[in-house]
Amino acid sequence: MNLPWSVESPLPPEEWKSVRLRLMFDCCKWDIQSEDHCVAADFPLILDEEEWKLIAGKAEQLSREVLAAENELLSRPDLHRAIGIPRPIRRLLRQCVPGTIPLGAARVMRFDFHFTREGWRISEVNADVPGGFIEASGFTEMMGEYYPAYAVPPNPAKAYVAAVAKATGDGTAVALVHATAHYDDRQVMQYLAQEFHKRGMQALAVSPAHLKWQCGYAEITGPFLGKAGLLVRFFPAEWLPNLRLKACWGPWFRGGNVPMSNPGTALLIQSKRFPLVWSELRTSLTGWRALLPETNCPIDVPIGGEEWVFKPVFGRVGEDVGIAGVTEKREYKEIVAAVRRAPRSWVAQKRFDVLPLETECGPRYVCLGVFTLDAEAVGAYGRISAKPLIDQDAQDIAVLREKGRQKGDWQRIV
Amino acid sequence: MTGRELFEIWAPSDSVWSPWVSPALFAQIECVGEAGAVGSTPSSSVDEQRPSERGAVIIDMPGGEAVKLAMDLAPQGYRPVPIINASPGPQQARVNLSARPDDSASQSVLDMRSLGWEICKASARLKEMSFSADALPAFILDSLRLQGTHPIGSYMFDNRWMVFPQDFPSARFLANRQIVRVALIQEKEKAPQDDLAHVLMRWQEAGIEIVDRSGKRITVSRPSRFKASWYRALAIIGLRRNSAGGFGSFIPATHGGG
Repeated sequence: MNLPWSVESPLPPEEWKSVRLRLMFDCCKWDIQSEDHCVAADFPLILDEEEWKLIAGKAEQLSREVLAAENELLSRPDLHRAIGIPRPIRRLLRQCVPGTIPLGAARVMRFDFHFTREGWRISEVNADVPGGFIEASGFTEMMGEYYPAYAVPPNPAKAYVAAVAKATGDGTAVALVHATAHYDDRQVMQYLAQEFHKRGMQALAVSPAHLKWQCGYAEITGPFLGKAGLLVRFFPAEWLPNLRLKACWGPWFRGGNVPMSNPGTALLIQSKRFPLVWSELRTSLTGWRALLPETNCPIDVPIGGEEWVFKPVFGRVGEDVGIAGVTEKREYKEIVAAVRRAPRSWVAQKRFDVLPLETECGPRYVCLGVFTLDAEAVGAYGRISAKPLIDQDAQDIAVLREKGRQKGDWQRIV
Repeated sequence: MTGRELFEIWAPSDSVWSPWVSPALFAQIECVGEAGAVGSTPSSSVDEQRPSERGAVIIDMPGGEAVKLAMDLAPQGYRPVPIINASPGPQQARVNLSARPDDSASQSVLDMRSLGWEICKASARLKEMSFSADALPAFILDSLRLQGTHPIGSYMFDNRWMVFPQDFPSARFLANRQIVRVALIQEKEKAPQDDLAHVLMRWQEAGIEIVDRSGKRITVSRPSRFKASWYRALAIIGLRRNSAGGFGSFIPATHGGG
């Protein structure tokens, strides 16, 4: 079977040193080291141009479908418990009627694609606060400079900033809302702020508690003062109720009149239990049905069974994903125990076998995140791992596109 | 001096420990002015530092004090390795070397002005120093990282932070460098802070001896949720709840992007 990608040779050490430094200081990539390894790969992944077009098209279809599903789910509060929406948010969403639905703008999400023996599959969508802007934008462009024979995919940060600028209009501030103390998140906000500043826009990196809501509009308080023309949220929606006063977080889900990217309602489709209610929806989800593996509530499958992958409903960056034989034994045991204790906080996804790619460092598994913005594909975020699970041990890899290479020319792996 | 220039002094390409120098602080500060007569005072407890041979050092002291201690150890061949994963404030910090940081109100829960000042101050000296290829590391932490320096007031910038095992070299890496002992230098003799205990416990389990500043062996107790798969998430949720107690502030939390 042909793989849709290959890898190039690593950069010479001196050049890599320069890229690494620029990545930290020009692109705000501050979490570049994890224990003994650099989290960025010193070689690029080369994706076939036709394959890029194919998965970009698939991602756009998935995006259109899921946005329609979100809309329908808003009018189906009876399904919110089944998909694991926390109670305080459910209460608000129940009261969400036309006119109080928060204003979405520049809807950004990322679909994680894997290449299997059966072809392309997705493992999930990050529809709430998708990460990877730095890596898919600045890092990728930087690596592209060293591999001029290849094309660079679209830059998602630039596309995002342009879409926000269009939705905001001139002269108003964009609030980049995040957990300030977590530098993994702050670095993304700093990077986007740089991009906004390049466009002459004012962007302020603040916490959700810095917003004072009045009649659905958000004012930025604290060290920064002003009215927010648009809210970019990099703070997971399910954490918002941790703000004590509902007035501080409620408008993200109901009543917010300021454009939000993304609104709190994105949580409805971020939930990994979203597929459990598909049969209740009128929205056509043909793309999803074709690409997402069978998904069940863990109570309906043998918990701990090898053919199932267990994921927390709102898990992120591969944390707590349990795969028999891949997840470290002790950790897997803990996950299985947690699934048994609270199966409704988890989901069971049918396992698929990702095809490994041979590299100089041995076989590697690739996950290709495709960013969509208002249902248009705007970038690719590559990650590569020594095991078929993308977690903190994975490396970010720049994705470049082969110009004019035919599918049949790719390395055969079986 | 720009943050990048500072970083290249603290993380030179010929040091094996440079990958662990966190760029977060350096990317958000710049130094201006000359230190002149406003020199750094020697650390109060320099005479008490007797790091063990073939051992690494972790200096977990408040703010600038940690940097000063590291610089006191540098002439003995210990390379300072700052692991400061935090933002000094809501905006880029401009450190004026010609004046010591004052006590004016801080916008941040963790006032990092003395730390930033000492980093800037020490940079010129560090640039002139040379270290052997097998220099031992002196990891620099800010012991105030978890509780901060100011009560959380409305609209303050919450920049408290934690360390995780991923922020340090593995026990295997240390062992490959023939490092069999780690000295923990703290303000008071006490158990290591909970987040650091997760790091030290891993090293201890791998056979690395943990000692205090006088060389006395410390047995690190198993911290709660040690090696739990969700430690990272839970730990920061814990930190978040601390701030959520007042929560009218900037909120620290686990990595939010997916």
